[in-house]
Amino acid sequence: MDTADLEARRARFDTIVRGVLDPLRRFLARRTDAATADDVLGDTLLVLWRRYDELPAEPLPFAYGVARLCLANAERGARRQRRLAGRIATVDPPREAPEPVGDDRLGEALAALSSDDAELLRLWAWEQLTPGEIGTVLDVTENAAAIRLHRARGRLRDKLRKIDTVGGHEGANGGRRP
Amino acid sequence: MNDDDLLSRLRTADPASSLPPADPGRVAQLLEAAMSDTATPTHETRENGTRDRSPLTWLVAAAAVLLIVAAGVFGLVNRDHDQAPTAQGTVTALGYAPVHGRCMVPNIGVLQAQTIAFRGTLTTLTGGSATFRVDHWFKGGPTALAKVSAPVLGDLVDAAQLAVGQQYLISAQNGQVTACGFSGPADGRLAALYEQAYAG
Repeated sequence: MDTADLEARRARFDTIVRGVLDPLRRFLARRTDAATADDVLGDTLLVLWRRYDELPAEPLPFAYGVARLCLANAERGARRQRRLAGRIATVDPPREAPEPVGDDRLGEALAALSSDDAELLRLWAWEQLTPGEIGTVLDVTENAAAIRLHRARGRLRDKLRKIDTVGGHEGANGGRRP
Repeated sequence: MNDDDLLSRLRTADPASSLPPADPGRVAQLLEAAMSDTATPTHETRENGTRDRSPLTWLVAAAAVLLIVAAGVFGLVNRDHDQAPTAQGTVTALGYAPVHGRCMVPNIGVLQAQTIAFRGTLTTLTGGSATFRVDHWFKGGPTALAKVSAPVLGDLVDAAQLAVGQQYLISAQNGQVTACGFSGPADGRLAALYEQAYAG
């Protein structure tokens, strides 16, 4: 690759990254602590640079998919370190995802779902992705993503209904404590 | 509760809604760190490892192995005619110059791009150089010893946490040791990374 090509790639990569950076930071902030988020962001950009030729015209779902794998990698590494330190048996693993803000019952309902269901719902509500885009992130077909999302919404509704009922019949939007 | 109610309840509770904007300095730093990755852009990632390698890769690897075997056989057949090995032939000479800036995350791609990689025990650490007895060559060599010279030996000692008698993993490109996380004590993550990078 000659210098002009490299410069053109760098310029395009710079533009792409600036377009996806804030959504990526929010994606990570919703799923891990600040220090891990910063490390994983660096790893994600490195992988995106190395997979430059695969970047699609709409790079954000692809970038979320890379960030998701980098985060899983970082969490595996952290778990391994804890095991090596011999503390895993005595200390509960930390929660992987930060709590939803100001809605304890929603947090409880999300935590009661499988991690796959919770991730689908986060991608739908917080990243505001369509089923096709969710399919890109999770590397499944649009159809599979739509079906799984539909079921995950159903299961979240069930959990919320149970938790809200136990919590005093406050109604659908009354999950928040005074 | 319909989908819209559910969506609205989830969105209200988004933990990233109050995330402050990115620090421009940090963004520039992250971008530069990513783009200074000198490994050839590849479809391989740390996630897929060697699983998705094309048959061509394995064919090239097989051809390389054949070439090495052929060279070995040729060497054996012709060894009677060879001169005794010179002193130079038993030591791999390397240099080290510290590189300033942020280190990239150690990864297999960069390791694979190295021209020299070995596991060795540090035997001497004097006079501006560190000498290793090579226990295993991953790439380059093979010589019994490898000697790394550095104008300021302290930089190398700090970069690779050198101590006599310990075993290290050292990699080099263009005759220069790659520190910054790619060379260091032969244990844990680095050992796993070398095994993965030079497997097969």
